[in-house]
Amino acid sequence: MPISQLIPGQPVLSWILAYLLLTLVLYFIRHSAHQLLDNLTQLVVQNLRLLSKALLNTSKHMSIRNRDVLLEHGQQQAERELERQFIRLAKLVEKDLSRYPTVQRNIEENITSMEDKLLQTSQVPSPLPEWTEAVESISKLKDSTKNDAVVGKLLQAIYEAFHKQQNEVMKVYRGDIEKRHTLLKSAMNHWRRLHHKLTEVGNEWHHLIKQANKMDHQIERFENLMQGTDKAENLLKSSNTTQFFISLIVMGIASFGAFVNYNLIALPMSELMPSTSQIAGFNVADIGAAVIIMLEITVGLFFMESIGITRLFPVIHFMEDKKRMIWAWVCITFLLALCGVEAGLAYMREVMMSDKAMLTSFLVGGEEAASSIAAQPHSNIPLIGQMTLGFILPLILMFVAIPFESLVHTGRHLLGNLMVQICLVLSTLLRNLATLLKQLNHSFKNVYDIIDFPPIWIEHLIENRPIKKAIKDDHTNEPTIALENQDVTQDPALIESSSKDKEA
Amino acid sequence: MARVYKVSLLVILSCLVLSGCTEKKPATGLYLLLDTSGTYTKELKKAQQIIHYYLANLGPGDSFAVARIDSGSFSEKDIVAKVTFDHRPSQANEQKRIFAQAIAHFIETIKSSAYTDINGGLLQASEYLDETSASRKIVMIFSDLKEELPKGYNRNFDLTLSGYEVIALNVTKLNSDNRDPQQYMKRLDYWQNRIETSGAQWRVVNDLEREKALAL
Repeated sequence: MPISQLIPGQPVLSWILAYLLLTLVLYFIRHSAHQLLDNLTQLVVQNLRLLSKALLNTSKHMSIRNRDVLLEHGQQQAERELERQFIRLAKLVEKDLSRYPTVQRNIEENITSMEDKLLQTSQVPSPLPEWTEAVESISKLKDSTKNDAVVGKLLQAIYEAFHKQQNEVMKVYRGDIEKRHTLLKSAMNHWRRLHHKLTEVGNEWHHLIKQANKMDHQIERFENLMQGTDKAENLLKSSNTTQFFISLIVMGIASFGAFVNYNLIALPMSELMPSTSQIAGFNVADIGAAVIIMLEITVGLFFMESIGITRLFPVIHFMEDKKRMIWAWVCITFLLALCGVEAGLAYMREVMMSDKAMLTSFLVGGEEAASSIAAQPHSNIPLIGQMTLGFILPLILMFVAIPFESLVHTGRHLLGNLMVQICLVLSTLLRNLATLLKQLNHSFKNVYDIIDFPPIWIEHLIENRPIKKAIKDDHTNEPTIALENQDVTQDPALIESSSKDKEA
Repeated sequence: MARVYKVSLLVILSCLVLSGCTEKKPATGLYLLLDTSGTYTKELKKAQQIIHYYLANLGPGDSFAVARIDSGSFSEKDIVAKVTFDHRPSQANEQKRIFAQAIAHFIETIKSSAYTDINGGLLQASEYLDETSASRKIVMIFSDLKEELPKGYNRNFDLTLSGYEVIALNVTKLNSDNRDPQQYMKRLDYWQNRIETSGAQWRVVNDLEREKALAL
């Protein structure tokens, strides 16, 4: 029965009656309805908060784990760098120290030669004859004898002999001096050699000191990493992000290369594998081509690992050097075999393309057109180009191992960070949702009260009247007032609704 | 050793799963009926071009047959050339060459037939295409769709061409159609009704220059 027909012929009254009945029902179930809303809201809000807290905890754990992973990766890198520095230093020291006996011998020889020369230069020239004493005794003769002709002649002879002797002595002396100078001059070469050797040794030591300084720096960094300082973490983070994007770009370029490679061998693969079969909607031949490229990349990865460029597979990395080299040779042999296969497929592709072109010309223009096209001279450059590409591309793809390793290591941390951020955002959203639900609960209750306002209003009137009346009539009736007040204060919903009424 | 066994088992299982997942590529089966009655044989040069077009477009695994419509077309003898292309493209190309040569020879040596048994041809087409187990079955009728049966031939049966596509190509207008176009319309309606009743889709392509309309 429609509501407007509750009182026949009186639709307005029917609606009013219905509304009154509804408000009465709502009034009687008000408390329970509010309780139900509160309980439901509390249930949902508590669960949301729990979930939010769980996400927050997860994000914290993940953040710690990420930090550990980052530091671990950083330590590994630092270890590798240190290892490389040690190897360099060892080589340097080995190289220099092996030369040191020769250098030492050379220096000693030079010093001995110089000592010999100096010894030779230190020889004292022959002393002057004892002329001076004779001249001195003649000069002490008495003045009377000075004018004596014999003395004069004697002195003259002495003088001449003295001069002659002096000239001879001077000549000898000069000759000696010249000899010494020559010896000293020849010693200069030894000096130079000695200086050169010492400079060389100095330079080598300087280089060694530089390497040692570098190592000090590395060790300091390594210590920071071991201690897990914030500085080291920040440095690693920025370095990691940069490395990730660089690796991503290189991987993108490599994927284009792989795509070109795929197109080069996809068509001829249909000759080898049934092109009429499919797996998950893809031709088996196409999948075969993709598998060949993936195999090439895998073999390339193993090769790079075995020669120690990457460290993706600990099993290979920790092999004995001899076994590792055998493994490397096996990998490169397989890779070259695959390169050969690709070159062959590229050749087959060109043959197939020309066959298809011939068929098309035959279908379009008949036998004549086909034979005329066959008779036309054609260049071998595309064929050679395709075969070269087919051979080279797998070798180039082998180098994908380096950015791939970087991408794996850095991506792990970045992905972890992303997960942490997602957890945090979700946690915040869930908390917001909980708050929103609480507010919605309040709003629903208010709407409920607004719809059900007539009986609530009447209830207020009834509850308020005796209090006011009692205050006016008799001040001695306080216990009643107190009781009334207690009742009012005990019902918070009423206080809330009354305050809202006042506000309204 | 146990680990090696486990890995081997996993590899074998993966291979089995992969081989189990292998499915046949959806192939196309095309059956072209050529009307060889009366003056329509002059139109067969166009049909040859269309055959070449489809030869160029069909790939490994697809089936293609060309048959003539003559006085009694429900016969294997009326199949001019038929082929299911090899999965190797080089072999498929060779098959296409041989097929094209067979068609060229047929068109050069064709003789007009007195009657036109289109229903018989359709029946033969459905029989052939059902055998190929192609996922897409197409019958093309290169004809003016004017059926004329010899005395004693009964073609009053229901065709079962569910899942088929039937395409009428180059439905030329006869002199009588020019006088009374209603006849042409009625003829088209009759065939459309008959084909659609049999469960197939019906389409008419008169402009053979339109590649889009001819595309499979």
